[in-house]
Amino acid sequence: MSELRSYLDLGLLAKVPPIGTSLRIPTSVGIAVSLAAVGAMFLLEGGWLVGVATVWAVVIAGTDVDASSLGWLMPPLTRVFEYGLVIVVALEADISGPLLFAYLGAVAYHHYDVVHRFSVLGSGPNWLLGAMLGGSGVRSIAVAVAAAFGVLPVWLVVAGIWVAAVGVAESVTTWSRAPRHPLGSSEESIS
Amino acid sequence: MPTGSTEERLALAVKADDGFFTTFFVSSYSPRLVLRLAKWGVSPNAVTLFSMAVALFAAAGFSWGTRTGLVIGAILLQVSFTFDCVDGQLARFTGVSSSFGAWLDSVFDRTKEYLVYAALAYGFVRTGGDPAIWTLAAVAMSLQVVRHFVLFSYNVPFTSTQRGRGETRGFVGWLRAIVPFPIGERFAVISLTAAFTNPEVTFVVLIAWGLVALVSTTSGRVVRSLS
Repeated sequence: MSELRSYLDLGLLAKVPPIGTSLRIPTSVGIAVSLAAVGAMFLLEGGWLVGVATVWAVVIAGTDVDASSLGWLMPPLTRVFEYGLVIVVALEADISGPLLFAYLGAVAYHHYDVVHRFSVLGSGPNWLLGAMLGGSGVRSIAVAVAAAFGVLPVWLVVAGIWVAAVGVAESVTTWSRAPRHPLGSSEESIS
Repeated sequence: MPTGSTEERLALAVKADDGFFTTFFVSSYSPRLVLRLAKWGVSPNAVTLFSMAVALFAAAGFSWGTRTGLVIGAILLQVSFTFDCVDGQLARFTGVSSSFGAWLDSVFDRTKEYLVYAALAYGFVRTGGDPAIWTLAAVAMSLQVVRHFVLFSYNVPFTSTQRGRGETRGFVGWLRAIVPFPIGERFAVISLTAAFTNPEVTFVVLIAWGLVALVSTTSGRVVRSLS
């Protein structure tokens, strides 16, 4: 998987034909749909949000980000939709603040891990892509479904603990076994 | 072991494209700390762990929520940040940079920052503040993740323009370094607003400056990638 595709955090959807393999949606369409989806989440609720999240998940998985010079806009836009959606539905459902923050923190840990591992370890094992509950797309659909059925608090607790536990445990064990090769000068970290 | 005189190696250990706050308030004295630690044989990863430990105490101060707690948290956060800059400088100075060390440093950087957000919100609510501050904390964290991904993702197809060594910045140059709100400036904002005002102000400033930074860095990169 290419580096930008990895940064999209598509989970196994990236490898499911035909969505992840042969849709080849132009980046301009991917960007437009992402922006429209971000706008829609402030206007819609319930089942409509499930629809928006589903269409968005399919489009980001099918977008050919490597074919455009603006493809790099897609990973940050994907973060805007996923995190924004959680905040919007949590506000509507009156979710406890610490729970909202902890769930987003767990997802954020995984997202930073995707970036840090790429240059040294590649895009990560298949089981991890599945374990992260299907990446940004499927996690967002799940959040929209949980909100529509009124079980958002339970879902955020269960999914948050799972993503944090698997994400941290996997990255710590992998990195502690990783080759301690010297750092190239091009790998200066972004702070 | 890198070659050159001690002074040359020390100068090279300081990153060329550090921010304004880091350059003037940390790197002005940190090389002396680096020399001392190198003489004692302290490893960069040990410094990284020490910096994380100090940040935990800073978070404890913030989560206390009283004026005393906020001031102690603010001071300890700056101590932690100093050692956060020192670990990388020490690694480059002693020539033991490793991908594992870079990972540890990076993971702890994020953990420290977002742990401090949570601690500020917790302490604010504990001392009678509006629980809605957790939403501000969540927005501030999400915004920072998005901003990081603009930089990470742009750097995949393009190489960001790295400043050359010895190049001096003028007023406009420093402004261009400050507007993107790098980590030194963020931690300075957190310490100053928490110590002198309250965590609500901290998050409002983090979000407002973060949005300006997001718009300016993203639009600049869109223009550059289209030309």
